[in-house]
Amino acid sequence: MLPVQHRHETWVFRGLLTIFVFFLLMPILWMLSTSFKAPEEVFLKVPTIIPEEPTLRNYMRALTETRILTYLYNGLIVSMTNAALTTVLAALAAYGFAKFRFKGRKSLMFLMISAQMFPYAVLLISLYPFMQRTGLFDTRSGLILAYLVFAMPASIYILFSYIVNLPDELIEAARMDGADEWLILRELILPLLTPGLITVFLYSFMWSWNDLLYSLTLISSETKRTVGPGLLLTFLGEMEQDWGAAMAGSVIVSLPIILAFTFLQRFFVQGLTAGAVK
Amino acid sequence: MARVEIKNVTKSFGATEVLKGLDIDISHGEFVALLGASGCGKSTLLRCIAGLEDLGGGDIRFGNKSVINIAPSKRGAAMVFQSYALYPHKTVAENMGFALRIDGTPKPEIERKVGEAAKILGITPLLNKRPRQLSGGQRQRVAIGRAIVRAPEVFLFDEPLSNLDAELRARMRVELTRLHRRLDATMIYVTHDQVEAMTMADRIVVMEGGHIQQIGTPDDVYARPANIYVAQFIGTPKMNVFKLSSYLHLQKQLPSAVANGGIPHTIGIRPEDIREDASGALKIGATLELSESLGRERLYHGSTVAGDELTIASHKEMSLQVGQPTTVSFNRGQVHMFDEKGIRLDF
Ligand SMILES: Nc1ncnc2c1ncn2[C@@H]1O[C@H](COP(=O)(O)OP(=O)(O)OP(=O)(O)O)[C@@H](O)[C@H]1O
Ligand SMILES: [Mg+2]
Repeated sequence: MLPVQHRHETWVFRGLLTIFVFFLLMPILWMLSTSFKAPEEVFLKVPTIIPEEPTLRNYMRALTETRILTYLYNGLIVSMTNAALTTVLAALAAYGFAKFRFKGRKSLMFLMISAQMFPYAVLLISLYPFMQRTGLFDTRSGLILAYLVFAMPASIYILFSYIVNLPDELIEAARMDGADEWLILRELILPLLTPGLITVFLYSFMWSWNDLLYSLTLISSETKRTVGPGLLLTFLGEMEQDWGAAMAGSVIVSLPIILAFTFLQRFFVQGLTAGAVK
Repeated sequence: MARVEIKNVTKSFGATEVLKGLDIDISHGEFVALLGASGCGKSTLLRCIAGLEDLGGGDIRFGNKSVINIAPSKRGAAMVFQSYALYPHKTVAENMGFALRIDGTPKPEIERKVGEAAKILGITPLLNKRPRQLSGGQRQRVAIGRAIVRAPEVFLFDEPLSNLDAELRARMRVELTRLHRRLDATMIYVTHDQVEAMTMADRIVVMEGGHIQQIGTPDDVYARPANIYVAQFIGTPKMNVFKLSSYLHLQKQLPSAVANGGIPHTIGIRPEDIREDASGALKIGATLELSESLGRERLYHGSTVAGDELTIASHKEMSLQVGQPTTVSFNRGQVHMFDEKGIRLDF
């Protein structure tokens, strides 16, 4: 933490922070506020921040007149599966990279990490024909696979840096105690890795939940759409200009992320900074 | 039963040869210390015995059975690591009972065995704590407890006391010796601290650069060091050595050849065997420059007329004339003789 020495410096600091937070929170505030406004109030020349007559009608419309529940369902299936798979696979890969010496370990690791250097839109160019040829186009499994491709490198790297910091002697002690590799993974590595696992789970969940591009491109049927493209297409199309419902829909699809973060943020922050300071 | 034989064991990491053909025969119930300077291969040898490293060549046998193809946990050996390597998320009791749980021991029996070991080590009140809530000394005990619970035939210790303060280390030395008597198990103990080796071990294996320099009882390696390396490595302050060609008058007083035909080349005298006056049979001219008090005794540092370094340890307070030439002396029985290659010669 920086020492803040003088009163006026404190105020400058606070001022900057306030502006920063304002820009950060403004869209969210606006979304929340609009979602409770009646249609007439949405289009007032001088906008109100706190709705004069708060109403739940926007939420009713969003839930009943759109397919938002389908999108939510699809989104949850895709994101949960992606997050779970990413976490498990990344943990296995990271354990292998961190604690086993095998030929080509470094180059393989480098290859995996370097996949991250490509913009994710570029990855899509090669994923698209792949999905079409393998029949995975317009399937949830295909989408999950695509997210996996993107989320794995960073996830492996995060978990790798955790596991590398676990002393070898710990694993050797377990081996002396008679534990086989699976037991070591289950009883030793995974429990000690919990903050890292939660970080990776949240990261990959968030990534797939918030994604627009992959889902928009790789899914074509209405019934398989996830929340991003679902909302976008709905409120740019049939329900154009219904800002109240659009905002209510946005609030609804943000809820899972907000909930997850509220419960797990302690681990998340801990996870991102772990290893930085011994 | 748990005789441990190490036969011509070699081990390399890449191009570096770390163990260069070691032979040690350890009888059942013996406490053997592997002693040597940092990097000499002590830990590597211990890890080979444990099965955590594969051998480059040679054989390791426990009670007449080769163990080199047996998994570490199946060898009947337990290891206490320098870092303790306690499982941080498990309680002390879970740490100690982990091995038993893995091999399917019923729960009440695990509890009984863990309880027994905890009692021996005086850590019963700690059983429900986690490692990070313990002090260094307590962690040490838990690590030993984890080994005891498995009732191994062979205990392997890798510098288990090096993270403790001096007082605790002295106390744990006594406790480990007691434990050894009580458990009737073979113990192999790695250390670079000669006090630990001298006080606890039945026999000491002095290692250097992947070789064994000497195997013997503490008294043996101290009183009859096999070569100059051991002579200077064991004992503090270290033994004085003089090349005989620089001291012709001494050469005349000592045998020119010993029974086996060896020719004395270098002699060694321990600092505590040198008198600070001319009362001994063999005399050397010297100049003393510095004295240090260790409380019980004093150390005098200086050099001989031939320019060799000289250290004397004495209980007497002497009127030291710093920088004045003086004569020091010793008796023939206190002289260690070595040939040209540094190998010990006996009269
Ligand atoms: N896994 C390894 N890979 C490469 N070299 C190694 C490895 N383990 C040990 N060495 C080398 O082998 C030599 C002996 O190491 P070892 O750990 O056995 O020494 P030690 O006698 O236990 O020393 P210390 O008292 O410092 O613990 C050292 O030079 C070390 O650098
Ligand atoms: Mg070592």
